[in-house]
Amino acid sequence: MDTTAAVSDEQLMLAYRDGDAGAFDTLYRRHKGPVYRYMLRQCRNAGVADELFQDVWMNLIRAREGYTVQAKFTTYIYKLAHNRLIDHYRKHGQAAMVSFDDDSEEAPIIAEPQAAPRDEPEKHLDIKQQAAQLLQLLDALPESQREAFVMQYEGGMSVEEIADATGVTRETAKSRLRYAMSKIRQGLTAWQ
Amino acid sequence: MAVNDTNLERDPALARLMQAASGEQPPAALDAAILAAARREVGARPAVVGGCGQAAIPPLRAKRNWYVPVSIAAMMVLSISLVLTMHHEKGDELSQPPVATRAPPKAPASAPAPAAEPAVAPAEKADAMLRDAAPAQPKLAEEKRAAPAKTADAIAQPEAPPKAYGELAKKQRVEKTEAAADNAAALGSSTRRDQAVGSATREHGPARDSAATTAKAASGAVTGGLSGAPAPQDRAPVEARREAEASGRQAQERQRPSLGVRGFDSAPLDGASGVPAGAPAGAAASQSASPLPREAKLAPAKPTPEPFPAQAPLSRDEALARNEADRSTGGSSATRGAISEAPAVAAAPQAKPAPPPAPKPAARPALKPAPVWRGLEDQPPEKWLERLAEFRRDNRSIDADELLAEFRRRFPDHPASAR
Repeated sequence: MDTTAAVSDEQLMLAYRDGDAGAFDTLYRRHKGPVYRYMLRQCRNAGVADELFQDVWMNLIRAREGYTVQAKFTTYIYKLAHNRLIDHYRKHGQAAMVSFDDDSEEAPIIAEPQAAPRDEPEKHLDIKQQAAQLLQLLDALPESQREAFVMQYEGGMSVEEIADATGVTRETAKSRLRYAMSKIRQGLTAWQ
Repeated sequence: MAVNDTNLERDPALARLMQAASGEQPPAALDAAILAAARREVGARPAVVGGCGQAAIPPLRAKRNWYVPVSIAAMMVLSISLVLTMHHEKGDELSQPPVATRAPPKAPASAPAPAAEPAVAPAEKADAMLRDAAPAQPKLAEEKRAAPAKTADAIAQPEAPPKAYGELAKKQRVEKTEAAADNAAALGSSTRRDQAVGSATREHGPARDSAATTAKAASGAVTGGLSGAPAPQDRAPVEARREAEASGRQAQERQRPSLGVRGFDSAPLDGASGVPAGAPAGAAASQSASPLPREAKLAPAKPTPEPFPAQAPLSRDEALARNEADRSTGGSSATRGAISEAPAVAAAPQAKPAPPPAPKPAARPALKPAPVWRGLEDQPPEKWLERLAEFRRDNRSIDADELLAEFRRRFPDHPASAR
């Protein structure tokens, strides 16, 4: 069992602030996958995701001296990622930003899940195929709803933490998350 | 479609699907770049003091950087000051004569005192003793013969002082003594002169002791001519004393014209030698052969063990002895030169314990001076006071004191005696 698992993310970040490079290594190993996937799901481009992912961690490294524990580290790192992503959207066009403002329940589901042939049960997709279907449903979600869903299932964040990281109210974050889950469940049920 | 809060919680089925779909990871190069940047950021800047990081420079070492040079400088200052202090103290110690080391030879010097007493006596005996001592002390005799030819200034030059540190202090003392003696002579005060000479003699007392030791080693005789050559290192103090005495004598000679009443009329000077006619017959011959002055020969008659008391008034015998010495030595330069060698040796009898005063009257039968109150024995007190006022006018303080003492003895009830 990893002995560093008992140490919280905030303690590791404080240790790194005080000069412990090993603490950063542990912290990076814990969060590099979720944060990278968050970037990858949001920008939908691996190259851009790599760049944005590196920028997020470099911003964390540069901001280490002023770090204080005001919230969970997960909230802190995803806030950095969100801000970097907003900067990226503003820099490369406003098209992607439209979906961030689309929080209405009447928004259409982008990708209607394809109905599975019920007369062929042997062709039920395995879990891998369901995962791929999930990713397709996820890509069809608006940016804000997708972001809230990824933050909850990749980062394990609560509604309040999502609201804090994205800079919205708790109700807004809850609405985004509710719409995202409804669409994904609807798509998966229709596909199954 | 409404969705309640329970539907917002993590769905395990969805979580399982998300985990299965989460196979993407950042590239290894990106991981390495980020981790390297994180380490570089930590190593490039000093960590905050008090944190978990290591300080770039230990503060204790930085504070101790000035300890070593400051301690070295302090040690050097202390060492130099200590050496200088020891140097000065050693110089002062060397400048002072080692009394303690010369004390043992001083005691035996008083042993030949009884033999020295007859030195004031006949000149034939002194000459005989001189002849006996001459082979034993060829060097001393040679120096003695050469001594009269030396001038006072030439002798005053110190000869190769063995103690270099003390020489400077010694010279300064000699100069100070000469200055004091000259000052006393200018004021015409015999008391001051005696005080200055006395101080000079006290300062160079060991020189006399050394000379006394030398005299004893030579022949045991007292005559200064036998051992008249002082030690080289003691010559400068002797010269200082001689200079002081000579200047004092000159000042006293200037007062002398009014001293005709002192009773020396009965003892006129013996021509060029300056020896009183009433002196023993061999005195002149002894003076020509020996530089020992008459004053030195009479010195053992002083009852006081201290050579020259600082403030003590002169007794009548002392005053007479000095006057006689002045008259006998104040003439020619040759006589003065002969005197110049004498004082160190002449002081030899002074180092002895006080001799019995009995032989002195026999040695000087013709030197009985007339009292200053001669002719006033039958006069009223007014005449005494007139004579006293006359002495005061002439600045003859010694005579005035003697006359006043006699006046008080004769007229104790007179009002003037009470003052």
